[in-house]
Amino acid sequence: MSAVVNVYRAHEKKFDAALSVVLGLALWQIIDTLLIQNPLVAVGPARIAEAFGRLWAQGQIVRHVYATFVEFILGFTAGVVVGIALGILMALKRAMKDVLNPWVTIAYNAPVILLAPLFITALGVGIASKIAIVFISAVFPVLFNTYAGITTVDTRLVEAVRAFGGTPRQIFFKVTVPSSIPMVMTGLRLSVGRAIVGAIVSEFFGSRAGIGYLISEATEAFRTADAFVGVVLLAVGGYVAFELLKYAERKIAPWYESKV
Amino acid sequence: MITAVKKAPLLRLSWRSPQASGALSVLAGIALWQLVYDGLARTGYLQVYAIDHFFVSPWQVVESFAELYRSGELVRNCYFSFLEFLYGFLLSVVVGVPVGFLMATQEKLNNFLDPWVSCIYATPRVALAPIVVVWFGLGIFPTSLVVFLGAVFPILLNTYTGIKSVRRNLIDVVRAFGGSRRQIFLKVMIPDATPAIIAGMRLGVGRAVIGVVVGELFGAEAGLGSMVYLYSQRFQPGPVFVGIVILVVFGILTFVAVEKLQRWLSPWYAYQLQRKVQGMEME
Repeated sequence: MSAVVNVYRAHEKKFDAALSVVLGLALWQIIDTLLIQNPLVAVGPARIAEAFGRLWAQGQIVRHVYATFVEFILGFTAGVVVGIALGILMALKRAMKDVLNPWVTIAYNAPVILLAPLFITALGVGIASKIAIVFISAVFPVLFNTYAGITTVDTRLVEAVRAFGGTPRQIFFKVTVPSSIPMVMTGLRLSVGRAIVGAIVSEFFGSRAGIGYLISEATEAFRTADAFVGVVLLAVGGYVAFELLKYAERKIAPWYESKV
Repeated sequence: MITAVKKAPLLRLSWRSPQASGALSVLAGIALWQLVYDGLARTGYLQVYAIDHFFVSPWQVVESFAELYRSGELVRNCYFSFLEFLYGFLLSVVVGVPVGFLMATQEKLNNFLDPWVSCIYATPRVALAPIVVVWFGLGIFPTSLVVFLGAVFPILLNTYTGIKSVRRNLIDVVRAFGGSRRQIFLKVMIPDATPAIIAGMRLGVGRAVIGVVVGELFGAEAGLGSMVYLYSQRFQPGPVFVGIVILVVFGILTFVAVEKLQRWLSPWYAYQLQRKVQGMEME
């Protein structure tokens, strides 16, 4: 008995977490089957699993996940490339900074997602409008954090390299770039979240496929279980994206301890 | 190492000051926007490609604003959206701060809540908006709930981080001089965690504004989000821009107000930590 207690003590956190998940799911299921019994309202884990199986068999899951994934990856990649490039330019060129700074500050803090309906009117309900919205959602956190990362480089490091005869080019590639990577990574992390929200909300506003489409269409037909399948897919997708970023961060900047 | 110390200029107002160049850039941008619109209007492309269905000039935005204000529509929509924001945001402070505090201090509770909190935090909560509307119907309450879902997690997690990172030596000092638990809580933990909690609220503001818009998309009697949606479906971009500008200005003003609150409550607080906390943001 004491051996069991010792094992529990050693991994208390993990055991508690597992217990919490199991108990929570059980409670959820009990509320579903005993108390409410209304498929419109209560969707226990069993019903969600069943809906998942049905949608998977119909090929719906693959179709919607693929649509959202393509929107996300294209918009996000474009956002990251443009964001890093403009961030570097703003940090290095005074004139760029003067012109762009107020716009970037506004766009970084404003909910740019509000532009979604206009983008859909302009670019149609297809994939182009979604990519554009994901792009404007993703670009500003990366831009802002790249700029902040480069401008807050430790001047002692720069001076040290300069004292040993480093050229501006060497200073940029050996000091500025590596030491701004953690901030850029923070920007990427923020961008992933915003990009996913951008993809989903723009699909809510008008689309033909995608996880957001799945959710809004299912709720309009009062198929709540199907909508929850979409939510679960998003949770999994968000989790995978963040783990990938964390992994990339450890590979690229192993000296920097992630705060998430 | 010699660092040149820049002397502060005698006259603060100069063309090269960040404020002046910022204002200039914004004005120039708006002027350029107006010029591009007028130029397009002259060529006739505006009608041919239906550009006027989604593109307006700043002047037309001002006109739409006046029109919406005169008809009383604007005031009504602002009132509804503001109430939704207020209820949802207050609720998320009232729930987020105590739960974050309890999770930081009660380890057992944290072990049990953590998987659920992390799981829901990783999910974009706006995706829950349509489901919330199916459950609770139309009106102010469901939208407030969407706002709450968006804003509560940054506040909760920042409270948690803030309490967890209360400096141990401060607590030890107060305890060594015979401070009671109550005093440790009120005089050390709360003040030391305040910057992080406020940073969470600042993040929450942005999430709350998005919550207002997305919540109203699915079911609302009135509100700026539903106004934006309605007019975008009628291909009238003027009122859409009015709604967007008001929400953006509101979001920025609230953001600034929270920042002021932070300076007032914890003036000793360095920018460095703030950034660290912001790095936690995940949306």
